[in-house]
Amino acid sequence: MALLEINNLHASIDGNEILKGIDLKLNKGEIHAIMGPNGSGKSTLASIIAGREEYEVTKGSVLFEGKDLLDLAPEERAREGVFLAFQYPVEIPGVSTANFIKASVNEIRKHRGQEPLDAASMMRLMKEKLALVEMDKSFLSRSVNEGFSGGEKKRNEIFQMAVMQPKLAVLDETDSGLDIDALKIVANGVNKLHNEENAFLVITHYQRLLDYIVPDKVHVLLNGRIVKSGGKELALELEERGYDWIKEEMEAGAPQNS
Amino acid sequence: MIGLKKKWKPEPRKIHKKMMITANDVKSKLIENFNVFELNLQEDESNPIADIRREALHRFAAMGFPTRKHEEWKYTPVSKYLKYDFEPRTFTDSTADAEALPADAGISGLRANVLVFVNGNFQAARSKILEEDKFEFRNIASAINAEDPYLLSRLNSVIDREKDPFIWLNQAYMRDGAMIRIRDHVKLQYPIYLLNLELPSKGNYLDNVRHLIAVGDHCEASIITNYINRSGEDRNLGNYFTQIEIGDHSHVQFYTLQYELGDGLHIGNYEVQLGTESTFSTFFFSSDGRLVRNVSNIILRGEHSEGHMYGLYSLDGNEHCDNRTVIDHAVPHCFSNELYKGILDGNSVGVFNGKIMVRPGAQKTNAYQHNPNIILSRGATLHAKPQLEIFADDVKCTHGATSGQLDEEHLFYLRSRGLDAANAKALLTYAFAYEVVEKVKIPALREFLEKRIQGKLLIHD
Repeated sequence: MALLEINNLHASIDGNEILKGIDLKLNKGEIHAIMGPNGSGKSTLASIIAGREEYEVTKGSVLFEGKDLLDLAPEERAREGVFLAFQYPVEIPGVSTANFIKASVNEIRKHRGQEPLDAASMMRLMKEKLALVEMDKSFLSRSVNEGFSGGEKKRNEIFQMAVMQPKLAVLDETDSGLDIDALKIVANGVNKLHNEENAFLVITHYQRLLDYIVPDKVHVLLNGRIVKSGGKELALELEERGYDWIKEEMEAGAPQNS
Repeated sequence: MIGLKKKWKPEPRKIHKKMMITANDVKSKLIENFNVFELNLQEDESNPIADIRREALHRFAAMGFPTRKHEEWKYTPVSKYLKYDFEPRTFTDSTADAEALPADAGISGLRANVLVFVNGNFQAARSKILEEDKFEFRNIASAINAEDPYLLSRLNSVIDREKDPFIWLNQAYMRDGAMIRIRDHVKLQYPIYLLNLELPSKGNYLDNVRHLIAVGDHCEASIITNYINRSGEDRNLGNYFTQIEIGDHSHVQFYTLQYELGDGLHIGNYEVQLGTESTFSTFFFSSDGRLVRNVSNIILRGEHSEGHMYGLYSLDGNEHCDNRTVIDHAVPHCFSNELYKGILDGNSVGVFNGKIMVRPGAQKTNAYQHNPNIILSRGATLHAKPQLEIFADDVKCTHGATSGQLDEEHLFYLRSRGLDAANAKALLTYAFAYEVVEKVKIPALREFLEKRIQGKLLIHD
């Protein structure tokens, strides 16, 4: 059974259809990349997996470990092991990062039938994961993302992912706005967390991130559909040639899988 | 059986009608019975207080209770709540004594100079002053009987332009309260804690309590006033008037707590005057009461003085809380900052009216005001009115009031990390409130507030 199975997914917002039939299968241990130009539906797909309510799914299904993901509230998805690294992580003044992570970790533990972590173990866990993304302990006492630079916000997302240990992580343009050093830190974090039991869906605009996070498969999302899938070399080709040739191929009715 | 039937027979309607009492009836009765009140107090006929009371009664009689037509009372229809024969209490209710006071005076871990007032009356046995050498305390009732010159001068200073009938009502019928004078160069180690307790008693009572606080030059002090109404009914009207006078180069924090008012009615007027290079911070934490009205009038009389005003009203059910502030920049080079935050749930009503007044010649004034609100339910109502009255040209003033729901993006972010919707809401609301709570400088008080707010929001750890 695939970890994530998306079948013929159609979704719209305010009556505009954004996703027009997505099919995607992601197995444990795999990393898939989704690439595509602006407005192709990449972030919509990420939002629907995470449970954002403003999108209406009009057709199709999303199964996670065989369960209907669309039936679950966002928090239930998180507890089941779905994680979204936000493209634009929000600043939440007044909520300290430590308290937030603590609440989050313990909710997930509760769901798994585990006892809440005691203060010392919680602190140990947080410190260990902070080191992974090269963040200072002082982050914990700051309000969630408040006053963080773009790079710090993205690293904070990877930090949270590391703490929560999801089965499926969706990275929504985590590379956007990162300089090369921050990009390497983020990629390194992902690579260290990746194992045979989890899977990553990396949504990106550019091939750059994929130099560091090597995908098993690359999918091209165009106008709400996956129009082409291939190996990691497809990303390089896209970087070189852009998306127009794919559009042309489509119009010419060429086969969609290379 | 016959007996039972008789017992259950509903009372005839007409009796109900007869019992309907209006604010006007309450007023007439108060004026009619003033003589009785005076007799009960047994104050000396030659005591100047007699004239002060009569003058105040006169003014109250001329004004009457406010109606909706009074701009200042537009959103707080106080007359609606004046439906009992409120009687100014002249005795200490004996049943009141039986109720034990919480051992920690309501705030655990707080070490303070505690002054307790029960049903408006000073309770020496329950009070405890830790720093006797640092300030003078006298209760108002004894100061009246002693014709204390400071007291009389302050009573006479209640200014003519005062338009609030409750202040005059207080002046006419005041019975007791605290008179505190902090000498020059005194730094209090512990806060002064005024615990105002209304305990259950039979009847409908009006308690008029006056607190007078004078802080000298070069002082540091913090004062906490806590209002607790255990009567649990709207048959008690507490009418408080607090006057604070601060000298030069002094720093004073003033905290007001309204967390346990039940269905009680509470009117509080505060008048504060500051000298040169002094700082005054007020905090109003309101979270209970059928009708609560807090009016603070802060006058910056000396240059380079600062007024900070913080408020947090978190309301639910049928609670109604009206906060009014006036910061009066009477001289140049002063600074004021105001942050009042509101959280409204249920069918509660919040009213905020903040006025910044910059007098002619008060140049180089910096005045800021902000009033953000979160509305959590459809039934809750907020009336916010910031006002600027500026008569000088070289000033910086900003003000703003906002109201809205919790940010959906914030909620989604928290939920996507496993927090359920209720917890995410509570966490965000708490964070909203915390911006005010974190300004509190007394650790035990801050902890008390954290717990109170978390309790109201039902956050589980």
